[in-house]
Amino acid sequence: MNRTSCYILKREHLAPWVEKIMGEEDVLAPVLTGEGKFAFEYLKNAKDIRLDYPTTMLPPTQKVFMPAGETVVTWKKIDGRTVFEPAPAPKRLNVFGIHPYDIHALKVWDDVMGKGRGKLADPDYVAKRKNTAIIGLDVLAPPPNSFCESLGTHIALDGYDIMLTDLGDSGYFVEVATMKGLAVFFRASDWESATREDFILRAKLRAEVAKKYPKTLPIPLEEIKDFLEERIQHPYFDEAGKFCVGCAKCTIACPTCTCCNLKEEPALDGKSGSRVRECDSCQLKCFTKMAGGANARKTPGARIQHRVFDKFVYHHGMPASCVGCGRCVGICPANIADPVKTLTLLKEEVPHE
Amino acid sequence: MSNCINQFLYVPRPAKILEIEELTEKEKRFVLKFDDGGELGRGEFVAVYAPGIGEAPISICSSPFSKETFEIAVRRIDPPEGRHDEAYVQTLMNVTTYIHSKKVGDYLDIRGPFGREFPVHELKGKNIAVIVGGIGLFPGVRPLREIAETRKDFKRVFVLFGTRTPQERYFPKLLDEWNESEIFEVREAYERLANGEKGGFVTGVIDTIEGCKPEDTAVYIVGPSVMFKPVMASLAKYNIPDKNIYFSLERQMRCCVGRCGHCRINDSLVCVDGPVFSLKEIKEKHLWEAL
Repeated sequence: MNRTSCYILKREHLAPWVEKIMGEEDVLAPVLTGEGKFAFEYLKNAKDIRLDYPTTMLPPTQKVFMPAGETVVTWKKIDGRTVFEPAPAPKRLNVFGIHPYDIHALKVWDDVMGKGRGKLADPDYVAKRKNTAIIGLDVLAPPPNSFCESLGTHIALDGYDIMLTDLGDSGYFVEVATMKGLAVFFRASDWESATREDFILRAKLRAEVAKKYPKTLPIPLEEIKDFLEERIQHPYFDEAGKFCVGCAKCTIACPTCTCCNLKEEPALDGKSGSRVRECDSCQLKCFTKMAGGANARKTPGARIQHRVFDKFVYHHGMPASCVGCGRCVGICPANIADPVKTLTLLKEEVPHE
Repeated sequence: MSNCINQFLYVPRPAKILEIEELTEKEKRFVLKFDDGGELGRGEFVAVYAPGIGEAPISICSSPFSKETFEIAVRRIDPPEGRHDEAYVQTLMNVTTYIHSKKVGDYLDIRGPFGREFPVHELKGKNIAVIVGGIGLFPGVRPLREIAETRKDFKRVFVLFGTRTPQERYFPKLLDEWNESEIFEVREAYERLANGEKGGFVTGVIDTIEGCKPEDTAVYIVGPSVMFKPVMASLAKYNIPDKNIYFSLERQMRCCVGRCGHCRINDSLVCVDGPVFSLKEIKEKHLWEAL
């Protein structure tokens, strides 16, 4: 069954469409923040939406599926017993303008959070995913530091409900991929069917952008796993560890980092409260500390090695967990987070015996 | 696996405390029964939730054949000497203190059970040596109780137990009972003897397994990670195959359901793939960090 249907939406019809959706449901979309950077925010005004953003500083995945302080369970003390209440059902949400690499990142989330790496399915995540419409946006100008093309994440062929492509003067090419997407798109007041020329133009734009990525991985994707496993004891990791300040920015900016923490938020009366989830980072020293004081990953080098291996060796439903967005490159104060640089340096130096 | 986990991953079930036994000054054993009448099911540990304080993973020490009730044993963690700036250790201190403050008839909120146990049922017809270090006796007792109830399925069974002092035997009645009835060969080593003299480590009693055929012998090593290497060195001369050597690993755990990532070693999650791993798995998955 082919549910795909394609349309053209004129530029001036975008804001009214978004406004119509906002009247009924929440919309998360890229906006320009005060500091001249772009960020995914809950829209208050439909005109704020910026579909020409290069990339955002923080990924939309955490904002949607692991917002800071999200309630996991609430409790109340009644006659010496604790009565628990599971998390409330999620509200409907539309995420606008999510780039293909972030759509690929969602596949990692589906594996880790949704399927629990094939073990325990998470009903909260599944419900949230079901209630969230993904309105993708093709990248036509690659973000700085990105290397999506060598990971195959520069284009998404599935994982979205609607995919938008900016065709320039003629407007947005709208590919509706699911029934959920259709329900969202049919709130637009005016559209035309896409013609053969529109399809050709979209294919041309997509092919052109693939050549524009500023960086490429020095090793073919399918060889990285073996390459890194041979270099598990490589001195590079401890060398990089000397510069690491342990700020954990590389994991906060990463769209596929899912590690989290459960925290207590008791009410002031002490008789009720909630457990909330917030993101945590394997780059922090205390991440693996145990009751007796022992720490499994004591040195910054061991933690950097864990992060690099997590992105390229340990697979979570994707060829690599790294999607090549390049967010960690720009954000690292010590300039050691860049996966391309890391792999290049590992390749140059002789493996340690 | 208990069916309620899939339904509400993070929602604990209240359990009533039926009995409390003071094992030593710092350790207590609790006999619990779920308020909803449900069974515990199979697993290695549970998460005990202290509302408003935090949560701690705690080993189960009752036999898996015990359906009505289950037991946990908890060490109260005191502030370590010197600096203790780590939030997780702080949480464990507060949670274990909370658990110890409970009385018979009070309720504890339990999530679980979680984790993979020492696979006793897969090792029928073999000699089994359970090498225990200190507080490792809490999780170590569960498979031993399982073996005791199906004793005729196994050949020789050893309990090799090393602890700090003869006062810290945690389950003296159980150990004496096993020793006297001769269902298990119990050997104990104390780092410091009752009269204050220097004793020995658990590695000193491993030679008890002398004469067991290596391929017919399984070893379960449970205790603090510092004992893994010396015990492996002492075991080396017996040539026991890797697939028959099991370790119980310890890691920081926050969610116990494979989400939070704290307990990850390479690609394995100690909370769902473990905490019991065979040496074969450790080698195949390159979990060298574990030992």
